[in-house]
Amino acid sequence: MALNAAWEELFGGTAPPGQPATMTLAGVPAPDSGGGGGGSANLKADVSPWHEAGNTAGELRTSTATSLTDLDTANDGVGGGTAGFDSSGALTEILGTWKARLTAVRDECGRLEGALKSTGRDFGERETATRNKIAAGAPAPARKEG
Amino acid sequence: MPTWQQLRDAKLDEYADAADGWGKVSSRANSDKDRVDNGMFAKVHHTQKGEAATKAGGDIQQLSRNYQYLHTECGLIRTALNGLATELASPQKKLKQALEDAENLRFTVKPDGSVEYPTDSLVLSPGTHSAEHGAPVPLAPGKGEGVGSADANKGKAEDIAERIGDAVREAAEIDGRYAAALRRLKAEPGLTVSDETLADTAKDTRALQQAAGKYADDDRIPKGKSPQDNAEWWKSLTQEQRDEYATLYPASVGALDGLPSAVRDDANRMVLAETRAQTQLELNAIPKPPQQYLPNPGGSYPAVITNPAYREWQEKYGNRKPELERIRNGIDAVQGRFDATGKDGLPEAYLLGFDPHTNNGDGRIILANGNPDTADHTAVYVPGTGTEIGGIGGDLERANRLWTASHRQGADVSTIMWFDYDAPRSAYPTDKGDAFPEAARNEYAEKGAPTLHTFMEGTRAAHEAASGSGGHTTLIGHSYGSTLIGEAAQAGRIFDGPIADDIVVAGSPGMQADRAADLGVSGEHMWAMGAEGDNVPLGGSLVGLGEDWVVPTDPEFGGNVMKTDTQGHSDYWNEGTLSLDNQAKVIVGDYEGVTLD
Repeated sequence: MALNAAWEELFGGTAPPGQPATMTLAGVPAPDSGGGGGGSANLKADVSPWHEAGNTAGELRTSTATSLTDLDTANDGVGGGTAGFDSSGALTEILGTWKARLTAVRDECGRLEGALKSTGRDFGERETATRNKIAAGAPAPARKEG
Repeated sequence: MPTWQQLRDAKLDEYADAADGWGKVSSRANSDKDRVDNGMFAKVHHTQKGEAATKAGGDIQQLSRNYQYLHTECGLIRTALNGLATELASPQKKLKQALEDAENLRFTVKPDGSVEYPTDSLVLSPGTHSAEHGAPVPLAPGKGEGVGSADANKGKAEDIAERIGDAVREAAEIDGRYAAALRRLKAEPGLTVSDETLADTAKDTRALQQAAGKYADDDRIPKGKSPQDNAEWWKSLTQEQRDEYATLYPASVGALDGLPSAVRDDANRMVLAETRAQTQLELNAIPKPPQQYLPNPGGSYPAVITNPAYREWQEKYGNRKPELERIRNGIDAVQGRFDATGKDGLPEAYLLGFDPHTNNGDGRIILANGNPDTADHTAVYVPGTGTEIGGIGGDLERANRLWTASHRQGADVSTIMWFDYDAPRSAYPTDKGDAFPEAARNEYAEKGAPTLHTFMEGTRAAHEAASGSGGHTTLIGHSYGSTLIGEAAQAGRIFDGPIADDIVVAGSPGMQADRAADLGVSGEHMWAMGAEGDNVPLGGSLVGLGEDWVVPTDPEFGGNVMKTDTQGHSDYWNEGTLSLDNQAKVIVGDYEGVTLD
């Protein structure tokens, strides 16, 4: 598959036929999935900017998950301790919407982590060469994968 | 609406605790946004091209918008809950006092808030009576009923009933006001943060400023005070108060000289994002202009007439549309700089000032490359004639190049593009249709000078607060920007020193002074450039923007004249030139390294 097509699959949000969209997002296959362990050794060895961006996405995922927990904990006592106040009802209403937003952001971070790292792994070795070519104004080469 | 029992039993700490949680989420989203902005986008966007890389970049920008959204709205929710808890404490206290008084008198407060009391009278028969909120003569309890009703307890009971009723009514008003404010602050579903959503965020902020005005009053934000006073005020606040001011009044906090650059940056980015959204929405709502000419229905001459619908469109949108596009272009130029962080080693950006409407429509953009509070060397570049928000991209680029060139000297630098004055629009006779060019008048510089002076003071104050010293500062003026610097330098000293340690001018038409010493710096810290083919210094001396027709590149001015290798008035910041390199040498204090003319 051409590299651009692979990215399109990762970032374009279009699922391959017969698979739900989430499969492409969550199920990014590691090229060395036969080697076991999801290729974390590979990730360490590869310092491409895409991997770094992927790592940041992973950290953001954790951070956003913490925010979700914080909201739950913080709003725990409100209902019982403040009966009769309309504000408590209002808070409960909006709490749900923000938990949904945080959940969506957290999941997006997870998706980006996988997609960025996977893409970085695909062209990590050619990263420098490509960047140089771009700097020189040449179009990025389309590479065929085996 | 709460009953008096519910008001009595309300654990207001629960609201304050919840506020803490929302505050944590807001602050975390703010630092998460920084992580996305400072490098993540550049990492994917500048290393590859193609549709998918663009999409990945778009996904990352969307993430950034989400964190902006979370930072703002969760911050507002925090403030709403704190305001609620704080305001409710007052009626709760009043109620508890009334209840205590009732208990001491052995009165019974009934579930409906009425107060049952035993008769205390020599003439009335013993028994119990009930006093209710809203007694006919509550201000003279028990004394209005005349002879025969002199029940001492009646007045006391009415007073208590009145106070209970007032407390509950007050609490209900507060509760209703905050409930409405909170309901506004719900999240839109999904992951998109649309322009509509961001524009709503701005409205939510204004709504909460109204609702929580008693709790977080913007009158407490210093206005017209010195940057040192501003810095002191900021220091006097708790972290939570700082966060609340920054999210509730971002425009005021972002504009406050003397505050930490990171704080101003966060606040201004919030205003920038919301203004971008509002501007785009207003542009979207403008219909396409109708056809300008129509065939003449009344005959063959003239062949066409102006379409009345077109004329109407022109009246309605003819001025507004280019105005909005100008603002959008300026915002996009700033966003472009944000996105470039990490590209070619560019450091994180700090937006220290943003207002698209001020300065007679020219706007305000102040952007730092690298943190000026901690940098050893800070340079402030002031652009000249014709500068306005819509064309700010070129000036931002000059500050970028100043950063790259001076950073290359191996020093810790911050370079600031400062544009916060009403710039003259025309540079020479007939330019922009002006027979007499606006730049030949010094009033633009006189008006802008105090603002620049205060900004430089603020830069110094923030640096002292963060680093314990002022650091080395250089003011760089291009063209009319140098005239403004001349005025600002003569507006007064800062911290008992000159406005900046070094002053650099390029293509200066004069500085309202005939010698460097008038600017508070000695000649050895005054640096002037006049490139071949740059006619502005000559033109300036002719119209008298100097004093006695002296401009900084003249020997009698008493400063250094630096060698240039660029042509004309606008190339002093071209990469790889001596003109730029000389400026970088001054910025990092390598005076020996400067090549003089």
